[in-house]
Amino acid sequence: MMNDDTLLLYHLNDGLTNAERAEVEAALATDEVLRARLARLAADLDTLRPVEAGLPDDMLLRLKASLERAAASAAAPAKPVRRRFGWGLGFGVFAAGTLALLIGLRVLHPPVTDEAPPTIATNAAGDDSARFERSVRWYLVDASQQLAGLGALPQPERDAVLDKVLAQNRLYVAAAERAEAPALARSLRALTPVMETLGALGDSAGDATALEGGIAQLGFEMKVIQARLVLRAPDSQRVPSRTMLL
Amino acid sequence: MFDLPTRVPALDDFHAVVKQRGGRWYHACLRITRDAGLAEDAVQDALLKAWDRRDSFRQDAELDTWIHRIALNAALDLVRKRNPESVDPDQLDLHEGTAASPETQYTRQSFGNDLSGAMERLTQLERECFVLKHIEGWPLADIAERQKCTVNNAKQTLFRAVRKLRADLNDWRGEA
Repeated sequence: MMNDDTLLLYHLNDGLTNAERAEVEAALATDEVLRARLARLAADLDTLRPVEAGLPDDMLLRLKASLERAAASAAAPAKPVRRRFGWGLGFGVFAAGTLALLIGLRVLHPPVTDEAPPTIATNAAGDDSARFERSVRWYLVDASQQLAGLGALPQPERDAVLDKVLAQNRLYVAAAERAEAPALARSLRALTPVMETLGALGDSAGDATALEGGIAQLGFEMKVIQARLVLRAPDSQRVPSRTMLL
Repeated sequence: MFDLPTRVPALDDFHAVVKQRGGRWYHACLRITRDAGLAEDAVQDALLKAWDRRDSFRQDAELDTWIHRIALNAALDLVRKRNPESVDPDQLDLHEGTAASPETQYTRQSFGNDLSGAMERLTQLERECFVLKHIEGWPLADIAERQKCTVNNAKQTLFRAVRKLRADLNDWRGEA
């Protein structure tokens, strides 16, 4: 008796030899029950097939903005960089730029609502949530200070500091994900490619300028994240939410 | 269908294709990652990679298909790197019908949430094999290559996924 796995491969038109396909076709020609089984399988698979949905407007805007930045960047003179982090360099710059733009828009046009601002959600309530937020804020302060001194360091020490901060950032991204704070995780994750961009810079004058700009960008973004956390921190009575306003 | 460019695609071509097909890329990535943020990251990665490599775009390929493939690979890479967060079933497009018959559409709408649960019960590998084969139409050989396994292993994984999903479908229908 022919099993459903063989019928599946026949239906998908993949994974059977010509001889096996011929065998299935011969069986289908004479076996009404087998034809019904194949029809049922096809109907089930059709039910399991999703149909397409559109792209949310805000996401479309973000993607288009990324493209615009990529095009603008391509039009500018190319600057040689060490290929330490591969393709993530360009993406990092655009992602960070997009993040900065979104943060700016949020600051300029805060949503009008009568509800209390949402807090960062965590698996644990109350004290655990507050401890986690404090920990993130301390990390951001510490990382900002370390990054601020990067320009004065020779290349090897600079790389060491960046590697350390990058590792810390990844840990906090993972912690935020575990704490069910996806927006915070996403904001922290967006810092990574910018740090990687800095790590790819050399000692030339142009790179020094890019380094200075990158440090300033990171400092700004870290301060914005800190500010959001601080705004929520004093009021422990706020109703927890599963989203973060960023 | 997106019009095939007859030259190196320009920025306008990218804007047009992301508007027309971006939803398909995003939901394909979401089915792989089960994480809205990762899915968006994958699409953005794909767009920027495609833009960077637009000079190598083959004229006999469609820009949509090309970016879609890059996005799926980016999603598979991202999900390997990170443990995906849980995804709100409402974010999945499994229960939104357009061209389906009323009966099929009703079935999809009704079964949508259950199917999301059923997809969650698949292992990551089973989900990927099912999505890549049944929904994305990849050849088994390509799936095996991407998953670094044999074609036979890819088949077996697909069989398991389909069995589980059909069992859930039968449960939902109240059938044995």
